[in-house]
Amino acid sequence: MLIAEQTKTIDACRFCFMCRHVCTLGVVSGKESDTPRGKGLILFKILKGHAQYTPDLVETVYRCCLCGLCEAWCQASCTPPAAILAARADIVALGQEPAAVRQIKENLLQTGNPFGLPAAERFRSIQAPQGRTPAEVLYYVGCDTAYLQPQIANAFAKLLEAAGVKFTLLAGEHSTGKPLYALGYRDEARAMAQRLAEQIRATGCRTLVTTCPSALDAFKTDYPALGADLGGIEVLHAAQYLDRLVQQKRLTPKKPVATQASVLDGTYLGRTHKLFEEPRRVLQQVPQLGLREMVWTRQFAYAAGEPAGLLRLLHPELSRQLAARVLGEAVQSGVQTLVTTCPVTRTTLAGVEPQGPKVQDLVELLAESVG
Amino acid sequence: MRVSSDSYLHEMFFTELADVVGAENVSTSQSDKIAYSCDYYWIPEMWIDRGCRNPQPDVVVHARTTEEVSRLCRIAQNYKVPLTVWGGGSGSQGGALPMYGGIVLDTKKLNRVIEIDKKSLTVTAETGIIMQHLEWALEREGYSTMHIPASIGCATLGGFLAHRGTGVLSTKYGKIEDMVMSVEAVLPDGTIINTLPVPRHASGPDLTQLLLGSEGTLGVMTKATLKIHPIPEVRRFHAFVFRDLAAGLEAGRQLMVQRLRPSVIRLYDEAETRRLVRRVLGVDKEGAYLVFGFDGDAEMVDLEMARALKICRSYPHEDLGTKLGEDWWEHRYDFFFPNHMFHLPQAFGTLDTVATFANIENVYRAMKRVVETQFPEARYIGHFSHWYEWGCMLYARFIVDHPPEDPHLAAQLYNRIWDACLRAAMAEGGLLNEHHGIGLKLGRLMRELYGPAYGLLEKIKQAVDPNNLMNPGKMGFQSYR
Repeated sequence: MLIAEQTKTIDACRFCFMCRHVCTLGVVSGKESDTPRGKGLILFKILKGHAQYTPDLVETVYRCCLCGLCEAWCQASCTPPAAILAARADIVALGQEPAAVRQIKENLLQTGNPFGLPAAERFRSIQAPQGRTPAEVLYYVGCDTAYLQPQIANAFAKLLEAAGVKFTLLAGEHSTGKPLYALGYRDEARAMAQRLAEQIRATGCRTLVTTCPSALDAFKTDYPALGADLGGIEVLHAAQYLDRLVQQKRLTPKKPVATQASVLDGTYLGRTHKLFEEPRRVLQQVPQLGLREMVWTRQFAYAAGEPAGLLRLLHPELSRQLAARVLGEAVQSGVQTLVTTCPVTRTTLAGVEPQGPKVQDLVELLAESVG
Repeated sequence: MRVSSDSYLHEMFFTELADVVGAENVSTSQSDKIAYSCDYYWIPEMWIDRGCRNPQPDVVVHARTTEEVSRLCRIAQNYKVPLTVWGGGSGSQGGALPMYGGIVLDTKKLNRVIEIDKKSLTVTAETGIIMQHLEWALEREGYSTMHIPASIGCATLGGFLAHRGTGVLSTKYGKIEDMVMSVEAVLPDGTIINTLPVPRHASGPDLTQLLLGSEGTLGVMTKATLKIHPIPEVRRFHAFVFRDLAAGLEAGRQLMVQRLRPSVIRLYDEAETRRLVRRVLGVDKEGAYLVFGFDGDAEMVDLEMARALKICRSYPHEDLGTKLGEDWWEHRYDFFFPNHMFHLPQAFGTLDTVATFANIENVYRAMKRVVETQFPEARYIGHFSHWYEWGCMLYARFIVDHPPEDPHLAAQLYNRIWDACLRAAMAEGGLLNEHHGIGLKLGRLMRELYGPAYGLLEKIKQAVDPNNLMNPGKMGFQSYR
């Protein structure tokens, strides 16, 4: 069992309550089984053979948004998200994953995206060159941006053109495989990652930029572990690349955006890769934009269930509750514009009460200011 | 009624529960049964570690309003089903364990902050709110309850009320029972009551104080109004190492009897200074580590700090200055993370007790003697962390590094150590407990503690909960049948 590699975490978490007040799901559901302690108790029983996976224990293992707040808070270096990922892989190996999980896997394998939408329609709403060679930058769009937030991709393309960057989309782009990995399908994730890495290498681009933090983490964290070789290509999130372009004066925000804005830090961009300053530096260049911090920010920012875009698909009601909590925090902090750096978060926050703060991706906001 | 029977009566029961709180707030899942079968009490932890089956709830219900709690209580009465209230479940006394199955009522969705009264400096909140969330809400407005325990992130407001909890700043701001203005509660028959709105009066006995510490055996507290305080201008700390515990105790006593108002005094015995303080704070000293702090207006704090330093320097000491005091404040929660806490297979128990200054050192030494002479497999450490004008609290602990593998033998040894230590403490004027409560762990000793006065508590319990359905098996009250 892969959870055996997480024995230290499971042993510690099963009797520890010290992160329960930050556990994203635990706080909104109030359920003990949703916290790292509850998960630790269950996984300990599985590990020791005192319990077998049943459908409802399996369901509990999939009720975690992998936000990493527990890990950020822990003074004992425990890694509950890694334990959950290991448990899911064990469950898949036993063939006991829930039907909804299996459906997402089938979608990914058949269409290259978790929604099961036609692969041919991936870039239907995006106006940008595909398969251009040579290109300075390969823009990896990602599933959530391509299918649900294409305006982010269009805004990014507009900014790249304004900066004079010769870029291309990847013809035949598909998921990084991260959702497969997060659901426990490690073999399928490896195969998909290796296939995508090969496609990326074939472009000859030296820089890959993505507007999706889950994709960034896939390339930087998962791919080396999965043997998916990107050939030394530089991988950046759009926030990093735009920050660079603004610093180099290749992009100049001119049009005022008179608003009180806050950055909503996320799991991968923030907690994992510590890219806290880049989006803030970009926003500071936007005329008349007032940048303020919410109380919960940077590594302790509230989570909206971003990782791999799965919570929204598996537990839409929980996802809505997370979004409401994030927006409530923004309202309490007097935020007028909540700036996301993630298409999943952008989708999750749309149309959820309390309405009030405008939600905009960093790329959209900058494009508005660059004009 | 046994809820899990195959009679269709239990379907009627579940239908009624779902009608009150919605089906999404009623769970019979195995996941929840496991998660609600263990609190922070060592025996259920050990039981799980050894692969034994803990008592589990038949059903876990989340209530969202006081009215829902009231209706749930009526259902419990109608069906004669035990009802155990669960806030954070982080208590160390087994207080939230559903010993006889039935309903576990999780209060964490009763989590609204209802009103901050900035004129009277009070806050009213529902009791299922996690204490840290209440504190964060108050901090945004510039206030604090000053109830800052290590379990602030783990436990709910209701949990602290139910077992008379305390926080690290209790020496100035009091325990939770000193902070409460009034409570709303649901009695076992579903009646919703409010205690009088202010805590000082001459209008009969104090019902607020009767409910505090009742551990869910007399009803469910659903709202509470607490005093709040402005965030202090400054908070300053200072640390010393005294030659021995006796010198430290006397210095601490002087701080109190000279009527200074430190927010915190914490004195570690030689063994805990050597082990925990060194490990967490890196203070590598022999003797008894003492840290104290003052908070409030800077000028007042400076005055009190100067007086306190003068007192401490009159005993054999090494002055560690302010930094090691501030380090303690910064790292005060670190002691409770798994890398610093005692953990299985070790057996460990917190023998927290309280006594007057005249008795407290004898209490400490009596329990130490019991552990060292009767239980060679155990060690004993302690610190004194909540101080009053008349005495202080002792947070003593015993640790057995290698308890028996057999869970029954381990539980028997564990209980024997508790009984022997607490009887020794009571003989010297100590109480059964100071801020963790009684729960399942210590109920059997309540009659010894109270003497004939326990009969009065029993009569109150019988009058309020004649079917003994509220948190049965706790506080020493007659068991559920």
